[in-house]
Amino acid sequence: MGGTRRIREALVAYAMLIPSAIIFGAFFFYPLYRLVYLGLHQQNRTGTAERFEGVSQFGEVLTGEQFTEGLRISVTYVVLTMPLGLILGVLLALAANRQLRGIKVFRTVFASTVASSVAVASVVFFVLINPQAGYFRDVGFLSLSDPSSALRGVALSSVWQNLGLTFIIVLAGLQAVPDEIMEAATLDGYGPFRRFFRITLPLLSPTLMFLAVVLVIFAFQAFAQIDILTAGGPAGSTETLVFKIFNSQQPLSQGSGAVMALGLFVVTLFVALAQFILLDRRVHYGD
Amino acid sequence: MEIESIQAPWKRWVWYVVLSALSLVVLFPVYMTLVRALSTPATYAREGQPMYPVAIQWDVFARAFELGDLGPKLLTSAVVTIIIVSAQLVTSLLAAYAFAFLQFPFRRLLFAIFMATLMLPIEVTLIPNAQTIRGLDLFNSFPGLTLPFLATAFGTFLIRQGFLGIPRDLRDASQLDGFGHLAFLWRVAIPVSRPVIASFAVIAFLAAWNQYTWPRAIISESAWETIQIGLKSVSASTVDQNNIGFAAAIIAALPVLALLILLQRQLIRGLTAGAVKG
Amino acid sequence: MAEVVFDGVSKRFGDVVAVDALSLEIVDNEFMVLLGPSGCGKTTALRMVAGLEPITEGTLRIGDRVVNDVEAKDRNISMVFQSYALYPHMTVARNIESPLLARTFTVDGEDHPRKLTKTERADRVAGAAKTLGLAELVGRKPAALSGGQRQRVALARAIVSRPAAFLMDEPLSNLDAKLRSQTRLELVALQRDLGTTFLYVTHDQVEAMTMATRIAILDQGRLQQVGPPQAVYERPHNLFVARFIGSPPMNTVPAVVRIVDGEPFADIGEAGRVRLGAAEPEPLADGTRIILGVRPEHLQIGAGQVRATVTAIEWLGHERHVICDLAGETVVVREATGFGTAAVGDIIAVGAAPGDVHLFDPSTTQRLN
Repeated sequence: MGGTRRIREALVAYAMLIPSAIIFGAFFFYPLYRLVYLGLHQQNRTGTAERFEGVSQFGEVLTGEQFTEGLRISVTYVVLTMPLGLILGVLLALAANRQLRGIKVFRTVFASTVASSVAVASVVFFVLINPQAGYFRDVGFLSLSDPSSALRGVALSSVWQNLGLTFIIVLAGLQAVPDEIMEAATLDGYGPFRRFFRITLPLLSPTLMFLAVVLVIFAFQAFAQIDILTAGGPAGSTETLVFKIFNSQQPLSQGSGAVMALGLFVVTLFVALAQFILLDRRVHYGD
Repeated sequence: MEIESIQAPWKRWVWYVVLSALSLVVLFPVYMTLVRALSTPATYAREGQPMYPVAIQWDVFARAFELGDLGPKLLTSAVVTIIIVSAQLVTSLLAAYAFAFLQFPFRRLLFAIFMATLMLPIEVTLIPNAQTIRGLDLFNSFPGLTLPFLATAFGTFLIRQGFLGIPRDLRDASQLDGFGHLAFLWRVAIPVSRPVIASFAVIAFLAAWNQYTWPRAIISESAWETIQIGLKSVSASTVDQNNIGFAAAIIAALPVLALLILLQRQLIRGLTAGAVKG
Repeated sequence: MAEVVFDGVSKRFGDVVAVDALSLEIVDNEFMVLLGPSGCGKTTALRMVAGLEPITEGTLRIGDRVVNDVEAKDRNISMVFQSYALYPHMTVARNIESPLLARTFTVDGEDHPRKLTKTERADRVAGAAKTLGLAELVGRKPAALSGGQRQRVALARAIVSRPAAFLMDEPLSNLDAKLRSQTRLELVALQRDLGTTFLYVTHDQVEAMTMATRIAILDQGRLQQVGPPQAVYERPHNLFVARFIGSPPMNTVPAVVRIVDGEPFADIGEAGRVRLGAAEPEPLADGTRIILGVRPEHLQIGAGQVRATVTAIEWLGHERHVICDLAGETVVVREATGFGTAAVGDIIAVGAAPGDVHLFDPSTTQRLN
């Protein structure tokens, strides 16, 4: 019967999906449920007892100072890292998108920061901007000891780290622009700037949009660089949402931590979707 | 590609200068790290800010290894990375095979659910997952470090993409040859998709080696530290000798750097898989 | 060595009927070509024989057993795909060997099918490679081979399992013209040497005419006609077959039957009329609408009572095509020798012997004589 064959195939398929499904269930979806549960309760210091708080706890935490501050700092971090990261990546890719002897060496150098972990990038920038002995410790704009500038200093480490990834992806996007189109434009008398803005940029926009979303997501997840460079200081001026969530692991603060985590989840989702929709429209109609 | 056809030679030199300048800027932070690692902290703090090593201590790397106990940390990172990458390969290959080649009820729904996990990074699920691991008494252990990462939707997605590119005729020929599912997977699908699988493996390796947030949450004993979180403790523990910390950072980055230079093509292919249209 | 029998076989994909109640007997050791335009169901029919497509309705037999639910690997058939489907990561030798790895075979003198030993496999591979002239290429991978060589590897892989029937899905379509005609001859010779049933699918009627012992023409999932090439050419059963076989295709013109002095004629309006032979099974009545069909080579210029206007002339070297307008229809006349002096714009007389005229019913499209 064709029927048994189909049943057998379905069973084989489910068997192949089970390993991933177990992991996803246990460490992705169950936690999602658990976050909601935790967000609805308040525990005692030792975690042995809990009290049902209800949905009002969500409202309290999400409007509370911790979350709004964390959100503000995270959003600032996004604004500091994403546009600059994109622009620099594009500049590097434009520079390296030509046929020269030895271009491969330059491309490897530009891509190299993708090898660095956030921890390594943080230590590397610690060399440059730590307040005691950093090479640029006198540059007030990036000073880690001043609450108004500390986030900028940390952001710079992310911008540097993201260069490699941005460069690789934008370069691939540039190389996907057909040569014939550029040749036709040159024959039409387009100068380099016109070629870039009228042809390259529109053709590159899906790639840039994708990168923008990726960089935003990275920025919202910022933690290691804060942990290593400033430990949240000075005066809590670099405590991103994830940092706050990380420090809410004790039973007493798990409730608010869970709500913040869900807040982070929704904000990230929302921003990514919004970007998708807004930029997608721009992408389609070019210009 | 920028049109190079009829170019004055001096233009080429301009570009060499520009590219070199940009390279110097990109490499500057790493260069300074190397410089500071090799210098004696006391001297460079005292004598202003030279850009070259001062009072070089060539043994700083050896000392970093010793003082920072880097050997075990590197080993821990290596073991964790190997476990995670291997497990992700197995789970992703199986899931990708099912989604690419098999018909079964709820296939599209299940695929959407799998992809939805990409929206739940460890940063969001940290608190409950840490609780789970603590409950299983797996803090400071290999299972604790690896369990949440044994499967990934990214791998499923990438490899499924590769599998979908296999011509249907090849599948039919295998069926006539009598290859069952596992035989087809092992004999045909995997060998033919080697480039995509390699790209995924490189990215998975990078992600696993560079992990910070999760180990930081569940490791409390220094014996169990991975190299990444070890960097924080090494820097903190030797604050007046922070050249040790800098040397440790360089050591931490080397394996990945070497891997990347060797496997650049695979890495680029994996990173650009979703990004570039055309 | 067996026959393949379709008994009312249908294949449906949702609401789409790809193959409609196909009943066809393919006898042992014949070269049967399934011919038809794209989408006619010929490839689907082939895949059902292979076991790659489940059968919706009807019975399929290979040899003397019903194989509807038998898996592809157990049907004792081999298939050559249009794209050859060679494993790109395996050598030629390994590609040829692949059907022998997982399947079981009934070896001479033994009762039960079993897996082949390494030596047995190597022997068969060597034999197949030699038959197809691949002996020096066995260590190469498909990417290092030419199109013709790859096709031969696909053939070798098909031979090596010694099947009861060979299935071929447009195997020549990826070859250039010269290689194609050469390979046609080789395939016919191969079939003769092997003495095995070949079931061959193509949309190219030249391939069908030159290679087949019998042709089965399909259109929209339905069998139109089956028979030896010459029979199908000389006596098409319906308009579709009449127009599909033959290049340039048969000329068709609508007409009305007129009985004049007891003799039947086809009246083509202003253009004139043509004398008809007897119709089957019964004579046609006056006033019956029909469609007249005459092949381009059967039309004679100068003799006949039908007038046409020459609109174009194509010179092919060994023959010329005189393209005319006949009562609004385009008609092609093929002149192989004795080229007349007809020129563009001339009004010429055309005619045909009654035996060369085909009559079809306009509504049923079936043959009337």
